[in-house]
Amino acid sequence: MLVLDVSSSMEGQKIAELNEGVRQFLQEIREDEFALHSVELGVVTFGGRVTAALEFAPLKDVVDLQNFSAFGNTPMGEAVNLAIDALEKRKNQYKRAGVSYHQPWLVLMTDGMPTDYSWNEAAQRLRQMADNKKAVVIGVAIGHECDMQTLAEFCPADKPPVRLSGLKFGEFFAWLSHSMSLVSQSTPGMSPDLPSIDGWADIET
Amino acid sequence: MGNNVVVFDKPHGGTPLRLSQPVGTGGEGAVYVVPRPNDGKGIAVKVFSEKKLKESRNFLSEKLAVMVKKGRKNGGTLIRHPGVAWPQMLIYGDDGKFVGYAMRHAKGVTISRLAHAQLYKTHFPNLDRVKVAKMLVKLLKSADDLHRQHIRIGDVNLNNVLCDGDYNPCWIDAGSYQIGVGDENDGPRYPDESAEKFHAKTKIWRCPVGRPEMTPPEHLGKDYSQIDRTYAGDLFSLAILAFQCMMLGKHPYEYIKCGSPVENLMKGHFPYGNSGIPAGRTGDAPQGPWRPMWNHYPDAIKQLCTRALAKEGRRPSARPHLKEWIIALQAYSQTLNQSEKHRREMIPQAAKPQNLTRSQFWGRMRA
Ligand SMILES: Nc1ncnc2c1ncn2[C@@H]1O[C@H](COP(=O)(O)OP(=O)(O)O)[C@@H](O)[C@H]1O
Ligand SMILES: [Mg+2]
Repeated sequence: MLVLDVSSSMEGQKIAELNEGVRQFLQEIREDEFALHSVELGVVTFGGRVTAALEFAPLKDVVDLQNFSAFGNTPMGEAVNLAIDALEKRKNQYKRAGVSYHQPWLVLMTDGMPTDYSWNEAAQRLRQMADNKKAVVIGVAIGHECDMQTLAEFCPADKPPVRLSGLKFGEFFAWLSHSMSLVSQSTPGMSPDLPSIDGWADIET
Repeated sequence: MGNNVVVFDKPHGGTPLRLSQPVGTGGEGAVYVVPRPNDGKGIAVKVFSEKKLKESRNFLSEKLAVMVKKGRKNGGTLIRHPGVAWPQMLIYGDDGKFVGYAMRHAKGVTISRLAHAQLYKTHFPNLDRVKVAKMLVKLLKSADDLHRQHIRIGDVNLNNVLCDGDYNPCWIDAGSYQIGVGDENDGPRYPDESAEKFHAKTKIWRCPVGRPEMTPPEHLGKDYSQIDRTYAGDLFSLAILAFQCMMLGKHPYEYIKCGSPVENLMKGHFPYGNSGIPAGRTGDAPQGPWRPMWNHYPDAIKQLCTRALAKEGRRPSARPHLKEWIIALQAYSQTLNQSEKHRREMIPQAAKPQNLTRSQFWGRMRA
């Protein structure tokens, strides 16, 4: 599940690189036959309002996404709530059908800080999911204006957010698709060793 | 190691082998196919990653040299074995240092694509129970041949076997097997565990890699590079692998209400019922196609799985030997071939033909 900041501060090169990164992600991950048959993808964006840019769907059924454009404020809490609700709903469907599944991943990318009032609650909810191993939460900060402290509240204590080095969206999404193919080749309930994040992480922070 | 790297079959003055696109990559390195210097036949060359070489170049070069030598013994039984891609020669970089080894180019794809609820349709479209049973017989016979040569496979998993379209499997990643020198006289192959000690003069090169969900309980949580693998340990891992192949990739310890596969493995929580007992009875087998898929296997095979994977299988000496597996799987494929009564498809739609038990019989009589 991708939860992406498309607020007005993302205007310009950031949103362009994000769009390109997501496009490339879809292409790369579809090339992996294991991922193609087991990964499901959902995208929630927040910028002015919260949008389910892609309803949760098996990768096989996902058509290309429309480009995002940057607009408005940053209702990150609401976006996270929507994403969690969608994940839980899907999990319950799996449980009822007796289908086993891998821990879902939630990638939260932002270049600022939440502007909605309820973000605290959403942050707690997400953090709890991660702490209880109900989800893998990856917080990614874009640029130096991003408030790392706030983003950290959405992430588990043992896996703090990471700042993207420059505008290396491409490297980040390449890492993400590689990770997804490793996960989809592993036994549900087991977490595989992931590739190094050196390619995209800003290690100075 | 990128594309267009040149490696050599001797440390100095060897024949150059030009590597292009790898045919496969893994955690330890990449595998390329090149023409063999003497006859131009395609061979596979595994080149270890820089990282792996940095950590253990000496260990690997020593171990692989021993393996190449062992492979040539007894008229080259191991090198010529069709079911094992045994190391045939060492491979060096242009600085004369060891970088990998060459082996037979095995055909096909990893059986992680056969033991997969979706991907078998692409790679093994005519897969059925006869084909699975026959493939497993060949695979386990090869494993038995390795055991006879005092080799423990160690890192048994679905990515270390390739299988071609005619269901001929081949063990790969031989460089990771545990091998010894001087253990040729270490007694019977399946001594009871307490007696399974290595000959005093034995020098062994261990199998430093593994996956927790494939590891026998007695080795779990230990550093793979510090433990001596055993035949009985292989019997456990091979039982998991066989189960996965028979059940389209389902892991035998996957989610029994709660618990990770490793927790379930440790406790011997194998949720699939034995013989006629409904699956829910001895645990909680997952819903969906898994129950009919399991139920359509004959009791002999179910019992082998139970003996290896349920509580009793935590005792290494209680695990069924490869010979028993081979006999049961052979008998199963013969039965399927001889009689229309038994379903051949992986996921049968119809109920299994069954002899009524006494109480079922009387129940029906009353109705
Ligand atoms: N002998 C071989 N013939 C053909 N392909 C091979 C051979 N050995 C390995 N490969 C390919 O290379 C991949 C990685 O090989 P492997 O030795 O298992 O690497 P690792 O130990 O790093 O996992 C395999 O999945 C397979 O696709
Ligand atoms: Mg391997």
